[in-house]
Amino acid sequence: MIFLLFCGCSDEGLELKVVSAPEFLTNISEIRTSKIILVNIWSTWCQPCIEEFPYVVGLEKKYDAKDLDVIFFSVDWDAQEQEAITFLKNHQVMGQHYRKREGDDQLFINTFSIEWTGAIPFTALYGQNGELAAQWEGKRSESYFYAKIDSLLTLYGS
Amino acid sequence: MKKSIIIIILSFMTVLIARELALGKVMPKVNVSLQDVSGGLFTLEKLMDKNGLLVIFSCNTCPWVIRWQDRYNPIAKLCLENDIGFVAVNSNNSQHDGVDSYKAMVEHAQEYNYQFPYVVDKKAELAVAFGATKTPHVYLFNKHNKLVYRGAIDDNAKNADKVGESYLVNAVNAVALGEEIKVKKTKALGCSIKF
Repeated sequence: MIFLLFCGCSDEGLELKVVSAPEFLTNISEIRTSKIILVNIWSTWCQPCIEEFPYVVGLEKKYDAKDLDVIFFSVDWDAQEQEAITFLKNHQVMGQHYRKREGDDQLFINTFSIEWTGAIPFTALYGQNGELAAQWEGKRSESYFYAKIDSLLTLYGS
Repeated sequence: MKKSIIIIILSFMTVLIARELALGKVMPKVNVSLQDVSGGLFTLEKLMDKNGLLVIFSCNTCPWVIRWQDRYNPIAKLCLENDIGFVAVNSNNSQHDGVDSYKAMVEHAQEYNYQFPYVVDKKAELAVAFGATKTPHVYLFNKHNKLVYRGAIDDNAKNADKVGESYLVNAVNAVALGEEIKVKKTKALGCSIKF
Protein backbone atom coordinates (compact mmCIF):
# COMPACT_ATOMS: atom_id res chain seq x y z
CA MET A 1 0.00 0.00 0.00
CA ILE A 2 1.25 3.44 -0.80
CA PHE A 3 1.10 5.40 2.42
CA LEU A 4 0.47 9.00 3.21
CA LEU A 5 2.80 10.96 1.00
CA PHE A 6 0.62 13.86 0.00
CA CYS A 7 -1.51 16.49 1.62
CA GLY A 8 -5.25 15.90 1.30
CA CYS A 9 -8.26 14.77 3.27
CA SER A 10 -6.67 12.56 5.92
CA ASP A 11 -8.77 10.54 8.28
CA GLU A 12 -7.23 7.97 10.64
CA GLY A 13 -4.67 6.47 8.30
CA LEU A 14 -6.73 6.99 5.18
CA GLU A 15 -6.09 9.82 2.79
CA LEU A 16 -8.34 10.69 -0.12
CA LYS A 17 -6.34 13.02 -2.31
CA VAL A 18 -8.24 15.12 -4.85
CA VAL A 19 -6.43 15.07 -8.18
CA SER A 20 -6.84 15.26 -11.94
CA ALA A 21 -6.02 12.16 -13.97
CA PRO A 22 -2.67 13.49 -15.25
CA GLU A 23 -1.62 14.38 -11.68
CA PHE A 24 -2.60 10.94 -10.51
CA LEU A 25 -0.67 9.08 -13.19
CA THR A 26 2.42 11.19 -12.50
CA ASN A 27 2.09 10.48 -8.77
CA ILE A 28 1.80 6.72 -9.09
CA SER A 29 4.73 6.47 -11.49
CA GLU A 30 6.85 8.36 -8.97
CA ILE A 31 5.90 6.46 -5.83
CA ARG A 32 5.31 2.91 -7.07
CA THR A 33 6.72 0.13 -4.92
CA SER A 34 5.03 -2.91 -6.47
CA LYS A 35 5.26 -4.75 -9.78
CA ILE A 36 1.61 -4.18 -10.56
CA ILE A 37 -0.64 -1.31 -9.64
CA LEU A 38 -4.37 -1.97 -9.84
CA VAL A 39 -6.50 1.17 -10.09
CA ASN A 40 -10.20 0.71 -9.45
CA ILE A 41 -12.38 3.69 -10.40
CA TRP A 42 -15.62 3.68 -8.44
CA SER A 43 -18.21 5.82 -6.67
CA THR A 44 -20.41 5.42 -3.63
CA TRP A 45 -23.55 5.59 -5.77
CA CYS A 46 -22.44 2.90 -8.22
CA GLN A 47 -24.04 -0.42 -7.29
CA PRO A 48 -21.74 -2.67 -9.39
CA CYS A 49 -18.74 -0.84 -7.87
CA ILE A 50 -20.04 -1.54 -4.37
CA GLU A 51 -20.70 -5.18 -5.23
CA GLU A 52 -17.14 -5.86 -6.40
CA PHE A 53 -15.51 -3.63 -3.78
CA PRO A 54 -15.03 -6.25 -0.99
CA TYR A 55 -13.02 -8.64 -3.13
CA VAL A 56 -11.02 -5.84 -4.74
CA VAL A 57 -10.06 -4.72 -1.22
CA GLY A 58 -9.18 -8.33 -0.42
CA LEU A 59 -6.66 -8.56 -3.27
CA GLU A 60 -3.99 -6.82 -1.24
CA LYS A 61 -4.19 -9.48 1.45
CA LYS A 62 -3.78 -12.23 -1.14
CA TYR A 63 -0.69 -10.82 -2.83
CA ASP A 64 2.70 -9.73 -1.58
CA ALA A 65 3.08 -5.96 -1.31
CA LYS A 66 6.04 -6.18 -3.70
CA ASP A 67 3.72 -7.67 -6.32
CA LEU A 68 0.50 -5.71 -6.10
CA ASP A 69 -0.73 -2.35 -4.92
CA VAL A 70 -4.45 -1.58 -5.06
CA ILE A 71 -5.50 2.03 -5.42
CA PHE A 72 -9.10 3.17 -5.25
CA PHE A 73 -10.03 6.23 -7.28
CA SER A 74 -13.42 7.71 -6.42
CA VAL A 75 -15.36 9.79 -8.92
CA ASP A 76 -17.78 10.99 -6.26
CA TRP A 77 -18.54 14.69 -6.39
CA ASP A 78 -17.32 17.11 -3.70
CA ALA A 79 -20.61 16.84 -1.82
CA GLN A 80 -20.11 13.07 -1.43
CA GLU A 81 -16.52 13.25 -0.16
CA GLN A 82 -17.35 12.29 3.43
CA GLU A 83 -19.57 9.50 2.17
CA ALA A 84 -16.64 8.14 0.14
CA ILE A 85 -14.30 8.32 3.14
CA THR A 86 -16.82 6.58 5.38
CA PHE A 87 -17.31 3.85 2.77
CA LEU A 88 -13.56 3.26 2.47
CA LYS A 89 -13.15 3.18 6.26
CA ASN A 90 -16.02 0.72 6.59
CA HIS A 91 -14.11 -1.57 4.23
CA GLN A 92 -10.88 -1.15 6.24
CA VAL A 93 -9.18 0.65 3.36
CA MET A 94 -6.12 2.55 4.58
CA GLY A 95 -3.34 4.65 3.05
CA GLN A 96 -3.32 6.84 -0.01
CA HIS A 97 -6.29 6.81 -2.32
CA TYR A 98 -7.78 9.35 -4.66
CA ARG A 99 -10.87 11.27 -5.68
CA LYS A 100 -11.43 12.96 -9.01
CA ARG A 101 -11.24 16.71 -9.11
CA GLU A 102 -14.62 17.86 -10.40
CA GLY A 103 -14.93 18.88 -14.03
CA ASP A 104 -13.54 17.78 -17.40
CA ASP A 105 -14.73 14.18 -17.51
CA GLN A 106 -13.48 13.78 -21.03
CA LEU A 107 -9.86 14.58 -20.17
CA PHE A 108 -10.15 12.34 -17.12
CA ILE A 109 -11.45 9.38 -19.12
CA ASN A 110 -9.08 9.73 -22.06
CA THR A 111 -6.05 10.19 -19.82
CA PHE A 112 -6.73 6.80 -18.28
CA SER A 113 -7.62 5.16 -21.56
CA ILE A 114 -8.78 6.19 -24.99
CA GLU A 115 -10.73 2.90 -25.06
CA TRP A 116 -12.73 3.61 -21.90
CA THR A 117 -16.25 4.84 -22.64
CA GLY A 118 -16.72 6.40 -19.19
CA ALA A 119 -18.83 3.68 -17.55
CA ILE A 120 -17.89 2.72 -14.00
CA PRO A 121 -16.54 0.64 -12.39
CA PHE A 122 -13.39 0.81 -14.47
CA THR A 123 -10.24 -1.15 -13.60
CA ALA A 124 -6.75 -0.66 -14.96
CA LEU A 125 -3.63 -2.74 -14.30
CA TYR A 126 -0.32 -0.97 -14.73
CA GLY A 127 2.68 -3.24 -15.25
CA GLN A 128 6.19 -2.99 -13.92
CA ASN A 129 7.30 -0.60 -16.63
CA GLY A 130 4.32 1.64 -15.97
CA GLU A 131 2.49 0.42 -19.07
CA LEU A 132 -1.27 -0.04 -19.09
CA ALA A 133 -1.28 -3.85 -19.20
CA ALA A 134 -4.99 -4.58 -18.89
CA GLN A 135 -8.22 -2.66 -18.55
CA TRP A 136 -11.91 -3.41 -18.31
CA GLU A 137 -15.11 -1.57 -17.54
CA GLY A 138 -18.03 -2.94 -15.62
CA LYS A 139 -18.14 -5.33 -12.67
CA ARG A 140 -16.08 -8.54 -12.87
CA SER A 141 -15.89 -11.64 -10.67
CA GLU A 142 -13.21 -12.15 -8.03
CA SER A 143 -11.69 -14.98 -10.09
CA TYR A 144 -11.44 -12.67 -13.06
CA PHE A 145 -9.30 -10.25 -11.05
CA TYR A 146 -7.07 -13.11 -9.87
CA ALA A 147 -6.64 -14.45 -13.39
CA LYS A 148 -5.57 -11.08 -14.77
CA ILE A 149 -3.16 -10.35 -11.92
CA ASP A 150 -1.68 -13.87 -11.93
CA SER A 151 -1.10 -13.73 -15.68
CA LEU A 152 0.77 -10.48 -15.37
CA LEU A 153 2.85 -11.68 -12.43
CA THR A 154 3.74 -14.81 -14.38
CA LEU A 155 4.84 -12.61 -17.24
CA TYR A 156 7.05 -10.66 -14.85
CA GLY A 157 8.54 -13.85 -13.43
CA SER A 158 7.07 -13.54 -9.96
CA MET B 1 15.36 -10.02 -25.97
CA LYS B 2 14.03 -6.73 -24.68
CA LYS B 3 12.04 -6.28 -27.87
CA SER B 4 10.47 -9.72 -27.57
CA ILE B 5 9.48 -8.99 -23.96
CA ILE B 6 7.78 -5.80 -25.05
CA ILE B 7 5.93 -7.70 -27.79
CA ILE B 8 4.78 -10.28 -25.23
CA ILE B 9 3.60 -7.53 -22.91
CA LEU B 10 1.71 -5.77 -25.67
CA SER B 11 0.11 -9.01 -26.81
CA PHE B 12 -0.99 -9.63 -23.23
CA MET B 13 -2.64 -6.24 -22.94
CA THR B 14 -6.34 -6.77 -22.82
CA VAL B 15 -9.10 -4.36 -23.54
CA LEU B 16 -12.48 -5.59 -22.45
CA ILE B 17 -14.65 -2.75 -23.46
CA ALA B 18 -17.69 -2.88 -25.72
CA ARG B 19 -17.25 -1.50 -29.19
CA GLU B 20 -19.53 1.46 -29.67
CA LEU B 21 -21.34 1.84 -32.97
CA ALA B 22 -19.03 3.70 -35.32
CA LEU B 23 -19.93 7.06 -36.79
CA GLY B 24 -21.51 6.69 -40.22
CA LYS B 25 -23.04 3.31 -39.39
CA VAL B 26 -26.72 2.66 -40.04
CA MET B 27 -29.04 2.43 -37.03
CA PRO B 28 -29.28 -1.20 -35.91
CA LYS B 29 -32.26 -3.10 -34.48
CA VAL B 30 -34.82 -0.74 -36.00
CA ASN B 31 -37.64 -3.28 -35.80
CA VAL B 32 -37.33 -4.41 -32.18
CA SER B 33 -40.63 -3.87 -30.35
CA LEU B 34 -40.26 -1.42 -27.48
CA GLN B 35 -42.93 -0.80 -24.88
CA ASP B 36 -43.30 2.84 -23.93
CA VAL B 37 -44.34 4.16 -20.51
CA SER B 38 -47.58 5.34 -22.13
CA GLY B 39 -48.44 1.70 -22.80
CA GLY B 40 -47.86 2.03 -26.54
CA LEU B 41 -45.48 -0.04 -28.62
CA PHE B 42 -42.78 1.54 -30.74
CA THR B 43 -39.83 0.54 -32.87
CA LEU B 44 -36.87 2.77 -33.69
CA GLU B 45 -38.14 2.81 -37.27
CA LYS B 46 -41.46 4.25 -36.10
CA LEU B 47 -39.72 6.79 -33.87
CA MET B 48 -37.50 8.04 -36.67
CA ASP B 49 -38.64 11.45 -37.92
CA LYS B 50 -37.98 13.28 -41.20
CA ASN B 51 -34.55 14.57 -40.12
CA GLY B 52 -33.36 11.77 -37.84
CA LEU B 53 -33.62 10.18 -34.42
CA LEU B 54 -31.93 10.80 -31.09
CA VAL B 55 -31.56 7.72 -28.87
CA ILE B 56 -30.55 8.20 -25.22
CA PHE B 57 -29.77 5.14 -23.12
CA SER B 58 -31.11 6.07 -19.72
CA CYS B 59 -32.53 4.61 -16.51
CA ASN B 60 -34.38 5.50 -13.31
CA THR B 61 -31.73 5.78 -10.65
CA CYS B 62 -28.28 6.68 -11.99
CA PRO B 63 -27.12 9.93 -10.35
CA TRP B 64 -25.72 11.16 -13.65
CA VAL B 65 -29.12 10.63 -15.30
CA ILE B 66 -30.84 12.35 -12.39
CA ARG B 67 -28.57 15.37 -12.82
CA TRP B 68 -28.71 15.49 -16.60
CA GLN B 69 -32.38 14.75 -17.11
CA ASP B 70 -33.41 18.40 -16.56
CA ARG B 71 -32.05 18.77 -20.10
CA TYR B 72 -34.08 15.89 -21.57
CA ASN B 73 -37.34 17.82 -22.13
CA PRO B 74 -35.71 20.93 -23.67
CA ILE B 75 -33.67 18.73 -26.02
CA ALA B 76 -36.74 16.64 -26.88
CA LYS B 77 -38.55 19.90 -27.70
CA LEU B 78 -35.65 21.05 -29.85
CA CYS B 79 -35.76 17.71 -31.67
CA LEU B 80 -39.53 17.95 -32.16
CA GLU B 81 -39.21 21.46 -33.60
CA ASN B 82 -36.62 20.17 -36.04
CA ASP B 83 -38.37 16.95 -37.12
CA ILE B 84 -35.96 14.72 -35.25
CA GLY B 85 -37.36 11.87 -33.18
CA PHE B 86 -36.35 11.47 -29.52
CA VAL B 87 -36.45 8.36 -27.37
CA ALA B 88 -35.01 7.37 -24.00
CA VAL B 89 -34.24 3.65 -23.74
CA ASN B 90 -33.93 1.64 -20.54
CA SER B 91 -31.64 -1.35 -21.18
CA ASN B 92 -30.88 -2.25 -17.54
CA ASN B 93 -32.42 -5.66 -18.07
CA SER B 94 -30.91 -7.22 -14.95
CA GLN B 95 -32.89 -4.62 -12.98
CA HIS B 96 -36.13 -4.83 -14.93
CA ASP B 97 -37.62 -6.74 -12.00
CA GLY B 98 -36.49 -4.06 -9.55
CA VAL B 99 -35.60 -0.37 -9.66
CA ASP B 100 -35.87 -0.29 -13.45
CA SER B 101 -39.13 -2.20 -13.73
CA TYR B 102 -41.75 -1.02 -16.20
CA LYS B 103 -43.88 0.24 -13.29
CA ALA B 104 -40.90 2.16 -11.88
CA MET B 105 -40.22 3.61 -15.33
CA VAL B 106 -43.82 4.82 -15.60
CA GLU B 107 -43.57 6.46 -12.17
CA HIS B 108 -40.18 7.97 -13.01
CA ALA B 109 -41.49 9.44 -16.28
CA GLN B 110 -44.47 10.93 -14.45
CA GLU B 111 -42.37 12.32 -11.60
CA TYR B 112 -39.99 14.06 -13.98
CA ASN B 113 -42.68 14.98 -16.51
CA TYR B 114 -41.02 13.24 -19.44
CA GLN B 115 -42.41 14.69 -22.66
CA PHE B 116 -41.02 11.95 -24.90
CA PRO B 117 -41.15 8.17 -25.27
CA TYR B 118 -39.31 6.23 -22.56
CA VAL B 119 -39.13 2.61 -23.63
CA VAL B 120 -38.01 -0.77 -22.28
CA ASP B 121 -35.25 -2.61 -24.10
CA LYS B 122 -36.30 -5.94 -22.59
CA LYS B 123 -33.37 -8.07 -23.69
CA ALA B 124 -30.92 -5.17 -23.91
CA GLU B 125 -30.72 -5.86 -27.64
CA LEU B 126 -30.44 -2.19 -28.51
CA ALA B 127 -27.70 -1.52 -25.96
CA VAL B 128 -25.67 -4.46 -27.24
CA ALA B 129 -26.16 -3.52 -30.89
CA PHE B 130 -25.28 0.13 -30.25
CA GLY B 131 -22.34 -0.77 -27.98
CA ALA B 132 -23.90 1.43 -25.32
CA THR B 133 -22.20 0.96 -21.95
CA LYS B 134 -23.62 3.56 -19.62
CA THR B 135 -26.40 5.94 -18.76
CA PRO B 136 -26.81 8.47 -20.16
CA HIS B 137 -25.24 7.47 -23.47
CA VAL B 138 -26.37 9.37 -26.54
CA TYR B 139 -26.62 8.34 -30.22
CA LEU B 140 -27.87 10.80 -32.85
CA PHE B 141 -28.81 9.60 -36.35
CA ASN B 142 -29.39 11.85 -39.35
CA LYS B 143 -32.14 11.68 -41.98
CA HIS B 144 -30.18 9.00 -43.83
CA ASN B 145 -30.39 6.85 -40.70
CA LYS B 146 -26.63 7.14 -40.12
CA LEU B 147 -24.90 7.79 -36.81
CA VAL B 148 -23.56 11.34 -36.78
CA TYR B 149 -22.99 12.04 -33.06
CA ARG B 150 -22.20 9.78 -30.11
CA GLY B 151 -21.40 10.37 -26.47
CA ALA B 152 -22.38 12.93 -23.87
CA ILE B 153 -25.18 15.47 -23.54
CA ASP B 154 -22.85 18.30 -22.53
CA ASP B 155 -19.83 18.92 -20.33
CA ASN B 156 -21.56 19.55 -17.00
CA ALA B 157 -23.88 16.94 -15.53
CA LYS B 158 -24.22 18.75 -12.24
CA ASN B 159 -25.36 22.15 -13.39
CA ALA B 160 -27.15 23.07 -16.61
CA ASP B 161 -26.39 26.75 -15.98
CA LYS B 162 -22.65 26.10 -16.01
CA VAL B 163 -22.42 24.11 -19.22
CA GLY B 164 -19.49 25.17 -21.35
CA GLU B 165 -20.07 22.96 -24.38
CA SER B 166 -23.60 21.84 -25.34
CA TYR B 167 -22.38 18.99 -27.52
CA LEU B 168 -25.76 17.41 -28.16
CA VAL B 169 -27.72 20.63 -28.76
CA ASN B 170 -25.03 21.71 -31.23
CA ALA B 171 -25.22 18.34 -32.97
CA VAL B 172 -29.03 18.45 -33.17
CA ASN B 173 -28.93 21.97 -34.60
CA ALA B 174 -26.36 20.92 -37.19
CA VAL B 175 -28.44 17.89 -38.22
CA ALA B 176 -31.53 20.06 -38.51
CA LEU B 177 -29.67 22.43 -40.82
CA GLY B 178 -28.01 19.61 -42.72
CA GLU B 179 -24.61 20.93 -41.66
CA GLU B 180 -21.45 19.14 -40.58
CA ILE B 181 -21.28 18.48 -36.83
CA LYS B 182 -18.10 19.97 -35.40
CA VAL B 183 -17.70 17.69 -32.37
CA LYS B 184 -18.92 14.22 -33.34
CA LYS B 185 -17.71 12.10 -30.41
CA THR B 186 -17.52 12.98 -26.74
CA LYS B 187 -17.23 11.16 -23.42
CA ALA B 188 -18.54 11.60 -19.92
CA LEU B 189 -18.70 9.44 -16.82
CA GLY B 190 -21.86 7.43 -16.34
CA CYS B 191 -23.41 4.40 -14.64
CA SER B 192 -22.79 1.03 -16.27
CA ILE B 193 -25.76 -0.44 -18.09
CA LYS B 194 -26.86 -3.41 -15.95
CA PHE B 195 -26.94 -6.29 -18.42
